[in-house]
Amino acid sequence: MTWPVLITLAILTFAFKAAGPMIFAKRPMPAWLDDIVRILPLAIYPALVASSVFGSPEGVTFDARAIAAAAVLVLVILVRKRVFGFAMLLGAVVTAGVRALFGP
Amino acid sequence: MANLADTATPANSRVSLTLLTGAVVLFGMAYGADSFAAGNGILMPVVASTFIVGGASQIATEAVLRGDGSPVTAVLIGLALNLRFVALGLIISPYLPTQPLKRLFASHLVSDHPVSFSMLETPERRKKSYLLIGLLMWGAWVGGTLIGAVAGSAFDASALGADGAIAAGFVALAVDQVVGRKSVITAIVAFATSMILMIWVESGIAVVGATVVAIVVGRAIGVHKELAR
Repeated sequence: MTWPVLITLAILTFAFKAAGPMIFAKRPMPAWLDDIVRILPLAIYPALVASSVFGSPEGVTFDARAIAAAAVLVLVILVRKRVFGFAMLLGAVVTAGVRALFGP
Repeated sequence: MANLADTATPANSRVSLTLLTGAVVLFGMAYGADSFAAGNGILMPVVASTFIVGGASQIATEAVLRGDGSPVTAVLIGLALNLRFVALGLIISPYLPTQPLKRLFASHLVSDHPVSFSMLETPERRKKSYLLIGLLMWGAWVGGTLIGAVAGSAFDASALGADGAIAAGFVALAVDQVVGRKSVITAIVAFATSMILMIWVESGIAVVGATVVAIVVGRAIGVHKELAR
């Protein structure tokens, strides 16, 4: 990291974060944008699942995270409740366990 | 800071927040240790975590610079990974403080977990929940970075399963968004597109591309009407 890169990235990232809240601080969102915002969580979280479970600097990787994610998916579907704490604990334990048994 | 018990729900219970905070601290430690080992000292990674607050972009930017990439390329890669913050800012926008300076500060806390966890709350609790979780995650990320930079480069967060915990959290969040047939289709499109794009591009860019494709498909099949029910 260099200071010019750090400062540029910090300023522009802040602009990304503040754009929506500042533009729509005093005016309502148009209906078409409201529809998109309604869909956004459904679009963004499965995409984040793919990147956080299978993503790596080499591209797509299958490792302990995938086994943990499968275990969590089964838990969430079977329990049919919001069990984020247990889901995350299960994810950590399974990932760490698989790595301890079979290596990284 | 508000008492955790005031905002505790099944979505952001003490157990969930404690685990999430622990995972973010571990990631921060891994980043801090790695950045210190690369010769950035203690101050630079801590300042980066304080003002960028985007783990993936910070790590990727450093990787580009270390690989002899140009500063412009490094910034562009970092920005591409942070592009989703525009979308997350839009999602949380209706629930932020109205006073301009407070609104700006609250915008700085925008990231995956504060927005996603607070949106699981009832609308009247979202603002408080977002600020609480946002401050918690910010503190955990910056604090973890500082500890990692001071502790040195021997730290291995992956052995403790921190990345598995974060991934598990996203799995639970994604499943929670699914309410019917059209939302299943949209979720599968988002996941599959992200997987395909990751073969060629950085994961953060794949997430942005997959989100756009899923929105187009979701809107075309009317998933927003299903979600509004």
